[in-house]
Amino acid sequence: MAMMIGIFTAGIISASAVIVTSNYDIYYIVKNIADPSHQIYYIVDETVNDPYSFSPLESHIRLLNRADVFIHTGTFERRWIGEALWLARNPKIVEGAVGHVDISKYIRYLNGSHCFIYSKEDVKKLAIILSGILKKLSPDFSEEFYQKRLSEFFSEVDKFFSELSAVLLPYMGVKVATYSPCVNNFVTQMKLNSELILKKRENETFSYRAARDSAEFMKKMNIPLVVVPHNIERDAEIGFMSAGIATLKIPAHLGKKFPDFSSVVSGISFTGDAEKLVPQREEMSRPIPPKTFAHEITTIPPERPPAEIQKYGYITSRYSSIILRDRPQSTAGQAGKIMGGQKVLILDKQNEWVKVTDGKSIGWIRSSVITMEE
Amino acid sequence: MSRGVVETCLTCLRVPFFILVFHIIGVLQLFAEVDFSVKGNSLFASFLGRNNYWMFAIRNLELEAKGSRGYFFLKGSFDVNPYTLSFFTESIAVEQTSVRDFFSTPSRTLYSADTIEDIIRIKELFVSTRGLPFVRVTMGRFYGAIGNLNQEKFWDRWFVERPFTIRNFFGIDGFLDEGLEISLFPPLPWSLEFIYQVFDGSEKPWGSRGSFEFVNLISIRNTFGQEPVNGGFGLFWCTGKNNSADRLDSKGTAIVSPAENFTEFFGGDAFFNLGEIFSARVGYIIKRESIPQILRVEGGLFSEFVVRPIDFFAAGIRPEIFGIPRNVFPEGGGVVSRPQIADISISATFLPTDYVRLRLQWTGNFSEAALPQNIFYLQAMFNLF
Repeated sequence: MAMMIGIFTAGIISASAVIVTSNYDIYYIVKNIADPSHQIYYIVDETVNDPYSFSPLESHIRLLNRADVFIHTGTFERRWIGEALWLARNPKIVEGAVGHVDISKYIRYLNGSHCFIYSKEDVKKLAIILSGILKKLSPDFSEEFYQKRLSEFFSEVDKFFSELSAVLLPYMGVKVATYSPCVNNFVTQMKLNSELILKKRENETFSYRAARDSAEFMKKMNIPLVVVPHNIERDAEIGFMSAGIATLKIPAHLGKKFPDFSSVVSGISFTGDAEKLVPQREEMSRPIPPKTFAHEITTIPPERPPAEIQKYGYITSRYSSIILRDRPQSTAGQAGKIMGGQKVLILDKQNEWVKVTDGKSIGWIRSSVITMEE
Repeated sequence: MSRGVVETCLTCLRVPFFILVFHIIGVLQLFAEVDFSVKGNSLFASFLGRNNYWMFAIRNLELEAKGSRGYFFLKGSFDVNPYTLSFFTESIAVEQTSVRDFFSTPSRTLYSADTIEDIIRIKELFVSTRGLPFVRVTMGRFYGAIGNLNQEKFWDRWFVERPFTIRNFFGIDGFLDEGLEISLFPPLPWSLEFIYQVFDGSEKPWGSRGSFEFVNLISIRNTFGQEPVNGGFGLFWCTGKNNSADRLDSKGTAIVSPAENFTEFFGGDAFFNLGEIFSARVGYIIKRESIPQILRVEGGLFSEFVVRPIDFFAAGIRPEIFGIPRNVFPEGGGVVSRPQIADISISATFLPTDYVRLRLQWTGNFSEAALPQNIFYLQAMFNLF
């Protein structure tokens, strides 16, 4: 059997190979660095809402059956890849075979997400690794050919990131919240001033209410802008808009709608009041003001003493989650749940009750379950 | 393949039921990358016409786990027996066709659950090879390769139940049994699959021993085209003997008639998909049952048409005719024609999120020899992860 498998894996070395990638991001890189004789396909693109629960169609299975190489990210495919490879019955691409390429070995992942496409270093590193793998498929093409393809691709990558920086220049210095770990990866790469990640996991869904709660939290933290992916849930988008939070929409991944780097740059859109961002930018550039005098403070008294309330704390309870109440009473209705160990912002205090938010939910809990941040 | 080898393989499956249930996850843990999913389905149905009552049932509360490692794939799923979790307004005349679908056997008491076997059923449990060139061998409990609709589970269907023809021949859970499968997949530009399955057709409960009655199944499947437009067809022939005509509870589903009889099924189905927007399926299954000196022939033609114009809504219509032909050739000669049944279902499925589905369905069952039966379904499904 081992000999038979060896014979079939040796069959990879052919003039025209079928390369199947799990998503469009890898497809785009492979398309740019592979030789043109190969047939390259992808399975999931950005139109798939939940790639984690994706079910491969019959056509995908047939594609995998014909594949000489299958390249995947090793993240969102975990739930369906085992069965898909079983159905595809292709000895060239099962785990351990030469044609099975899991790129999670080669690049770093932020919060388990697979959004490497917005990291210049990861894209280049991946291109070099994939180029090395693809080279073995095409003995007819020289080393120089692959080097030329790589250098062309690298210059396109550099151009893309410089164009991105130019488009995002107006948002430099503005405090932003990011919608998901993937978007946060993008924002960090672009050196924007990211202060908050709203979703903890990439496949978490956001509702209108969650968006409104997040917006309230952002206002408390004086964050006027949220960076969201282009395929954000409609309800959540309405939630941010109705709360007066500006949104900067970026394409989350390449795909049918954004087939190349240049379309990503043109696909970035801003919604909201741009004027609100200006004071913060000026504030950042302005020198630190001198201390105010006591009599000036007394002319405009604050609504509540901020030093007492605007603090962070950690949920410290023997229970894994705490019920948030909508009023400071133990008999009040439930306003959500908050996990133990979670960092929260203290918004208000009444007797032994404190009003807290973690950015998604807002409600009252007993002060005994909270430990203030020093 | 010799009978002795097949018997040995099938005997391996006959270990006590509870050991299987409690060890299934342990076995799966041996595999890397075990994936669990929990799916559930509750159903409210109102019957009007031939019978008048309503029922509520928790159906298909199902835990599924699958894992793969190297050249092996393992899948197991078990669910709560819906017959122990159904609530009716009155006792039902179970011989009525449209009602029988909801019961295991006419003699079964609705609310009794004496053993764990009555509550939890193993649906599928098989180990299969993966990535061997051209061939795949599967052993365990799995669905018979009679077209595509038999193997579809509730989460993937656009109607509450399988087509009436399949339910009538093989039971509400479709054709599902313990056995061995060898499937060949020649390297062709399109997808062609030859399948041979042998099932244990005897009605022996889990853990008991007895003689085997084999059910043999041969199937050919073909699929053409790529995404988004693709289609295909499949043909099958199935024959064998077993001891029971109705084995819906712990053991499996009816495939053939009593032991002294000989039954064969043949038929096929075809499908066409236009992306997710439109899909159509047509199938025909005929059964020839020879009771000594008497031959019964009955066939069912079924079709499904589903449109999904937007992501969160799909509508489907499923017209079927059961009884073309529906003849009995008695001992003394001549032909007796039995009444035909027309069954039509119209469903509307709402998909508000990736994890929840809601369905409204009307099914009309019209027999030439009985009053019409209308069934209104309200179905709620979830797929946790």
